[in-house]
Amino acid sequence: MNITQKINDAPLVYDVVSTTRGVQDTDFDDGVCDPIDSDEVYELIRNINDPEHPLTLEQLHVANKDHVYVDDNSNHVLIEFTPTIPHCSMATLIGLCIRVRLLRSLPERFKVDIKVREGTHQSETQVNKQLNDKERVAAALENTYLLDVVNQCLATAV
Amino acid sequence: MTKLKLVAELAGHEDRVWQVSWDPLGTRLASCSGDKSARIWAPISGEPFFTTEHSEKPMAAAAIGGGASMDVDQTSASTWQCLDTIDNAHKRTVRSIAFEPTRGRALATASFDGTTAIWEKEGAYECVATLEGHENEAKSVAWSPSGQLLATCGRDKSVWIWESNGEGDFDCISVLMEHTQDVKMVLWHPMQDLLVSFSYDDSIRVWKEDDDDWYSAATLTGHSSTVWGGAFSPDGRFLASVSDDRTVRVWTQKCQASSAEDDKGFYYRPDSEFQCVAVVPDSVHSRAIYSVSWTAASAAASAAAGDYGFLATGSGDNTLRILRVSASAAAGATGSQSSALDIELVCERQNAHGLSDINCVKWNPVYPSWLATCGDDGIVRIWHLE
Repeated sequence: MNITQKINDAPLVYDVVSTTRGVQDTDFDDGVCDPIDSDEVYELIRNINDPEHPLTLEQLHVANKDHVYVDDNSNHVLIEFTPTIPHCSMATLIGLCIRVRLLRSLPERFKVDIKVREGTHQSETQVNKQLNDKERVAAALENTYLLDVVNQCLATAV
Repeated sequence: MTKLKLVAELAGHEDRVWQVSWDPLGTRLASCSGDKSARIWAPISGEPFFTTEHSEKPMAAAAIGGGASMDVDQTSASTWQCLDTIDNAHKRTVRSIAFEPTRGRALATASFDGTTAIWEKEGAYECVATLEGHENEAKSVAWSPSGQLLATCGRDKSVWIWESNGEGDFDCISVLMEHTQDVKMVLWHPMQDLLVSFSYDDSIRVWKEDDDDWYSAATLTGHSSTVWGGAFSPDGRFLASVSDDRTVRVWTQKCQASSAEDDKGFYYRPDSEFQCVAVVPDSVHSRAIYSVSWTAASAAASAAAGDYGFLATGSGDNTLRILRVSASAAAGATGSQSSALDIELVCERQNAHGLSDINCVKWNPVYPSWLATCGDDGIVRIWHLE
């Protein structure tokens, strides 16, 4: 991205706490269906890159495991992300990256809602409205320039 | 006991289908999709399709990938065919499609590439005009009941009105910029030259013409989120609107008590006042409602005075719902001329398009109990309400 002045020059960087889920007997049983839970969805989004810095959303505490709500039975996922500063103009872009990541990784049955964590952004209603308008999202994803930027951010989320 | 029966499934599009449109004879269906194409479908020729005999053919309970409640006529694949595919339609998603309502010979498509194309069938469909002007995505196109005017709208917050110049081409006669956000849909009144637009700014605007000049005659507020679309009742008295706030609202024009001789000045334009006469609460639909269509009560049903027909809604919660609209019982009790309405859910079909959103629902204009729907699963379905 060719911007000379970064929105947030010096973001706070946090340590990554790594957690591993213990192996269970049911993991080897093909008859047992593992529901998709918040751990799995968090795993998908934590390594998405921030558009401005070579840091992940987890390191910037933009994505938090506690703010990922998944209900496998009702096919619903809600993600609340926290922009680093209240006037962050990258908020819509970050939200779009999260949406694209989940669109490409989760089964089609899921309805995904992505919101800015309440009180963390000055235009949170506007950002939320854009991110959850499927027609706006579909049109945005046809914009090749924007798609390139999103793909760059998603390059680290493997 | 009303129920919905799935009669045909039209597959072929490679991406989500955004909208469907019936031709004025009710025998052709056009659909448009994210795969940048438009398709025209029709029953296999020689078979009269919209008869009750056809809908009552023995159903084979086919198990279709988990949707055990889908009773599909085993022969549905051989009852409808794709007549034409317009592949070179646009460079981006085709978002809206509409048949010209008087003769059904022309077809309009509006695309995210900002253009609206007019097609006519000479053997294959050929593009006879391309209407440019929108700065970014065009989201809806609609023909006026006379077929002489065309309206388009888009993300650039504008509504454009075009007039046919008699040679197949259109001239822009008005660009209306009163909405403060993205305009999602435009709709003409079934009888008059009155235009309604529905917007991301949570409002609905009614546009009228005064001596070739189009102006905003009313702004309907009440929805708390994006208004995705709407439909007029077949007699044109009521307007239903649906929104991201999960409600359906029905509006009607208040009677104007003013006299024609009122001269309020040189620039006076008669404003219209609309009031909301019914609201379907947000507990009925669990996600955004994308589309609504209104059909008259069928002759067979109790077409008593006060029965205003059926609304069909397509929602992001994968469910197709049919609601009956009738005059409010309370009106009779007070004895006053109340225009309040009662809306009652009579039938619903969960997972009508599998586990995908339903993007558009349209009743057949000639056969009032037949319905076409389309969704994110890329399939167009035809239903019969009985």
